[in-house]
Amino acid sequence: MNRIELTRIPFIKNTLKSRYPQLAVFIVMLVGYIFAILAGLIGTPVGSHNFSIVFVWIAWWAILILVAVPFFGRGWCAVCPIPLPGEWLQRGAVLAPPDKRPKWLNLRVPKMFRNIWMQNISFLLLALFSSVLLTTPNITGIVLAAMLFAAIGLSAIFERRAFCRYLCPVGGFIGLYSQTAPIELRIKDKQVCVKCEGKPCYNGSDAGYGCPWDVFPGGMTKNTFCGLCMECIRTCPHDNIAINLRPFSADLAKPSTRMDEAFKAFIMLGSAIIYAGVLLGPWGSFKDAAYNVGSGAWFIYATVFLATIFIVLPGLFTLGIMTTKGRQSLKQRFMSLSTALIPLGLMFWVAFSLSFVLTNASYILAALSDPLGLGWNLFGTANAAWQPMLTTILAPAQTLALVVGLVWSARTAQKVNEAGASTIPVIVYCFVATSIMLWLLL
Amino acid sequence: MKRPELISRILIVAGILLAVGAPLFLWARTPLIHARMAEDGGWNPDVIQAETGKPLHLKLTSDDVVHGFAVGQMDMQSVDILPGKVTEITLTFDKPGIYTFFCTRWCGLNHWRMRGTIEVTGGWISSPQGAHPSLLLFPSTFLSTWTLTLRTTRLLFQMKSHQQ
Amino acid sequence: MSYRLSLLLLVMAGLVVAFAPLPVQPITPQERTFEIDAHQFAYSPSELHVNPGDTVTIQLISTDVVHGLYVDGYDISVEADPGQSATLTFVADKPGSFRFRCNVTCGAMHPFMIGKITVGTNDWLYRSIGLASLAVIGFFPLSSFLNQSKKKDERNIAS
Repeated sequence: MNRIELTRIPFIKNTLKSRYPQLAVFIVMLVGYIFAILAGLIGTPVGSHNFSIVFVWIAWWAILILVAVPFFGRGWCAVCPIPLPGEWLQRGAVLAPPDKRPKWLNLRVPKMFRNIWMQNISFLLLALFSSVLLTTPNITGIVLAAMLFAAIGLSAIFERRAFCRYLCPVGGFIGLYSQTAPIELRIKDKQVCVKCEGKPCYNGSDAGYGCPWDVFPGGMTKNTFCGLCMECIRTCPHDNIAINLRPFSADLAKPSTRMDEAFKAFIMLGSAIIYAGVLLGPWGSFKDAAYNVGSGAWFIYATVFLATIFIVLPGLFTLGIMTTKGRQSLKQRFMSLSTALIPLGLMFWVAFSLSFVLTNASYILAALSDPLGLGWNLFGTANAAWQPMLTTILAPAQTLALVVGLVWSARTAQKVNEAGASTIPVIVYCFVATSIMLWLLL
Repeated sequence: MKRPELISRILIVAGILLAVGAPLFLWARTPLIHARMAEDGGWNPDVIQAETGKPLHLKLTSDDVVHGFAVGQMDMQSVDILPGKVTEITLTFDKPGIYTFFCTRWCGLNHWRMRGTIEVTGGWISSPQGAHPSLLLFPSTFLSTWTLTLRTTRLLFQMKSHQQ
Repeated sequence: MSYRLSLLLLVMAGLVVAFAPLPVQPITPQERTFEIDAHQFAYSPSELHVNPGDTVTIQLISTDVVHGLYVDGYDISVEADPGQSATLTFVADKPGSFRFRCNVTCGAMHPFMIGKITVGTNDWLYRSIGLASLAVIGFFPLSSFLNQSKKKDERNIAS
């Protein structure tokens, strides 16, 4: 089904299989991450001149939402430093396994938590405090450190990458949106897996570890939970695992059948709309409400935020799909049709992010030369002036992103829709949401 | 333990120590004077020690909004202290005493409260012709153009008062 | 009507919606002055409206700390200390909606201190909504073509 296998190219296969290139990237990322924590904690409290704010919420966020997620799915997870110290301690090694005796508790995550609700909650927690988080270096430093230590702690108690799979706030939406990406990791031939003994891709072997993401590659049909860590490519004794180039959003033809994922789609859609209005709009009182955490106004803001995400958006969606009858239950149709909101949400975030990234990207140059605000000038750019970039293409780019998102969602709605029911309510819903987003951003 | 594993572990630990140690070390070595709106603490530190004749090299930064810096009892142009950036200034005192420094750009309702002191100890430095003998111990590069201007101004005032 | 023809028509309609010049009502340009109060972290008023060609004078008055006002699209700015108002004058020759924002770090929420000035009508917004509507309307005939051709392919493979 028009897939191009990238791992057929020896250079790509060998680079991905070897542990050394990956380790080099890991070390750079980990050092950068720890430096960002330090910068947040001891550097200048002025966000726009602190490495942690500029490189996390402007540079990294831009690369994540504009490049990594749309084009590489969980590509960021492949290089993320957060799970590394915990995983190395858990494994008792940095490279290939000396022995496979578990070093720590290695408990299985309880069934109650084996879904993405914890990730929905952790994302919402950050989202409600986002105005403070995005502008205050020491808060960013604390949150980054908290995630690192949470990952280490969870690795000490549970097996595999429990933090990444069940707690990471970023992983929740990267996983959902990775279904739209044009690359995938899949097995080549199912029969080979059927005959395989021991399933080392999941259980590990002398060549590598069992899937840290608790995924059985042989049964994987969607990108959602594969973190592209390459362990299975190393352990598979039959060379049966490949990385393929594929059409965009191939996974979305198979609708979601889970409530946690459906609500994740609404969480991302709702938060993009609210951020566009509160952060990029001209209404000062909303910004004050969002920033003054703990005040009465903030409680109202938090209530409106949560009500929009859990009641208004899903409620209107349900009313819409109730107008047309199908054979499936309303609950099933809610879950499968909410799949259509995935490309829409991704494009909403792209359009929203373009605005504040292009406006503030010039801070990256200054923060590179003086990351802590101590008066350094490492690369000579410490006095680079703030200057919005590419402002003439911003509005057209946002329109393009949103209209493409709308068409993409409409197409997805058609693919996941059951025969006999109409897709018009979903498409109208997407159109109204897109118009609201256009009005807020333009 | 195999060689690659050992090297990898060393690299990782070295990287982490560098990422933690280097910023901490450099930060501790850079004493900054932080300017904040008076409601949030004002100048920090707000008392600075100095000696007459010894150039006082200050590094100032703002933690919130645009502030300014000037010292009373001294003829100087005020300098802007910008958020997240460092302003460097060198002051030399000829006379011991307590000098007040204050904010020169409006930074809120309590802007006028934003002040600190420089406690200058040491002897009077008053030599209308040429440099003070003890200053000859310092290489000339220590004296910035600014302090020369300051000394000349003092000189002119002293000459004027002598004439009267 | 074939798929290719419908797609072509749709794209052309899109280009018209996006780029076709709209008739401009000739309004004599005026001189307008606005007093804008700036405080942490909003402008008051935060939304302005002028006609194309107007000579706009903005008097920026900071009420708490030093603030700036930078106009997107026009790339001009002004800075005001509290107690000393500053003026920015320009000719609003570019139509459309532009955000203005603070360009002097004035505290935590500084990057989100934003206002909006609309010169004439916010044409691009209406064009964008027009494009979105066109996309939805054109979607149905085009997708039925795609579904038909997919079914044809499946029948061909089966036979």
